[in-house]
Amino acid sequence: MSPANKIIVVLLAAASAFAQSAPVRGKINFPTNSPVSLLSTDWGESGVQSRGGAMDVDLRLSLQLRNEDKRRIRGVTLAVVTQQSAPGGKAWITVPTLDVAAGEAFPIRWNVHLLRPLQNGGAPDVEITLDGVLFDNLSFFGPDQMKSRRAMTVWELESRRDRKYFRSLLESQGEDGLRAALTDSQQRQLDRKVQPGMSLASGRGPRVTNSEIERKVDVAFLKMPESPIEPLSGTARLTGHEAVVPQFEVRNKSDRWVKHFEMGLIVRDKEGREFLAGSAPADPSLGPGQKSSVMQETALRFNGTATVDSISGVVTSVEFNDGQFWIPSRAALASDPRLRAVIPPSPEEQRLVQIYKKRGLPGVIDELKRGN
Amino acid sequence: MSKHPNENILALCAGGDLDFIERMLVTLHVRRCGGCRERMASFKAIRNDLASVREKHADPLGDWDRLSDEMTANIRLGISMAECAGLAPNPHSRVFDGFLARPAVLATGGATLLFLGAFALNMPVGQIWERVMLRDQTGLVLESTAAGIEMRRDGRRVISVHPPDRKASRAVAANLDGSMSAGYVDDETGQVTIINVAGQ
Repeated sequence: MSPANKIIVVLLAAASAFAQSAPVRGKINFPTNSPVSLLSTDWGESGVQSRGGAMDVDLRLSLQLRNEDKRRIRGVTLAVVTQQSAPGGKAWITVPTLDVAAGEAFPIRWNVHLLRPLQNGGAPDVEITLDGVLFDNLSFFGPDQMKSRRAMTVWELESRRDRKYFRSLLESQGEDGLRAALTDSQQRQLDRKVQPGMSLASGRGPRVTNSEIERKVDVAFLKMPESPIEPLSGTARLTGHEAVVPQFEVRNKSDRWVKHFEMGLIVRDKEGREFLAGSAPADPSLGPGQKSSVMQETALRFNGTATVDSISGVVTSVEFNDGQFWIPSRAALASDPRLRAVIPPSPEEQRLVQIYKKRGLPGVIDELKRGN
Repeated sequence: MSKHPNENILALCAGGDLDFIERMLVTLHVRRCGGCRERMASFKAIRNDLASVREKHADPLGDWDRLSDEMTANIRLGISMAECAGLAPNPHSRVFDGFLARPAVLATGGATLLFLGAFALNMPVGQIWERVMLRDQTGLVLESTAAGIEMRRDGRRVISVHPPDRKASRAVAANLDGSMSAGYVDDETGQVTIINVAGQ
């Protein structure tokens, strides 16, 4: 080994020694009446490092949980308590599409990286709490601070819709029909990878520079058959890579009060590519036939070369005051090629496609035989 | 070297701004790592593009060299200060972070750069510091990254969440209520998992 290489090895060893992190002092904090219990915790390569005036917590967590309830579990949401650990932000993880019977165990894995103040009075480096559990009868347990009840309920309804669809395909068109549908879904998921990176900036509009002139454009709305909410009009401000949808007006077409709805935002770039960039949630408390305006000021910014050309909206879910939900049917989603191209497959459809890739058609057929 | 250098290191290396040992370590790594090689190439391409723009629009502001030097100084200061304050760490690059994130080393290096920069630009030190910090004063930003989702406040990364398997396929959705989510199928468990980050 040459002297130069020896120096490098010594420097590398010294650097590695400096970079050693301390173990994470973590706490899993479930309520005493929790319907899930903790069987085991694996902190893996988690570690804490001091960086200037902050602690850098690298969490790589794998949990084994058990259903202690009589009902089957359909979804679980866990949160990182960040009030002290990462001022200004919160993180949580949801595992939908579960089917865990009473007494059965299931795993949850996730990685989180966060900063917390150096002085925390001996408190744990990180604390994991239970935000919610959704059961097969759509009942819910948990504080719901992350609004996970609504999200998990919508995913569960989509799961039931899609499982019913694939079962009916199998019955009516046999294995060939099911295989074709799964292959098609797989391709759609691959196509969606072209979505550019993006960021979300709150409380401000697009930045205007000399080379990027702000444009005000009308938001077009895609027709979603059977939707209880009818979008009437909307405007957006576009500036190069950024877009703001500050306002849109809707009408409640149904005979029930609407508590909440989600408006999917479809962005078209200068190259003509379209993708569902996200959604604009709204809590209008809207009576039958009533109209309402929804105001937003959050800016969507796209990375790289994606330049926003136009924005369209489409209603993707509605929650009524009586606790019932509306989601689009498979027929509604198939009614417009644009909808079909941009609306992502449900979590359950993604899971079934994954089973198809790993275990083939027999694996999917076995999976479709279980309950809902 | 099995850990990947972060983007700051790659950018500095592409511009020839690393010291000898660090440059050699990065070069050795880049030769074996296709991903880092691509990122380094993109940094070099950006640098070349800027050079060509400069050639086409010679001194449009009258004193391009001074502006360029000032920007370079500010970028270096920003990186140093960010590392010094524990900002923007990269979980994959502990070796590099170990070199660069030692508070004493960085405090000295940052202070030296600050004074040298001030001297070179004939500016008060306080003015440079203000520029570096104000550049990042953009408030709350949630961002989708190659690894997952990050939240930055005033330019500081406070949270990042990503799948255990960084190669897992995922689709990111931004919610205009100030949250961002990404779904992926966990290769190990077969479960669909949705990770979320939101501002408070």
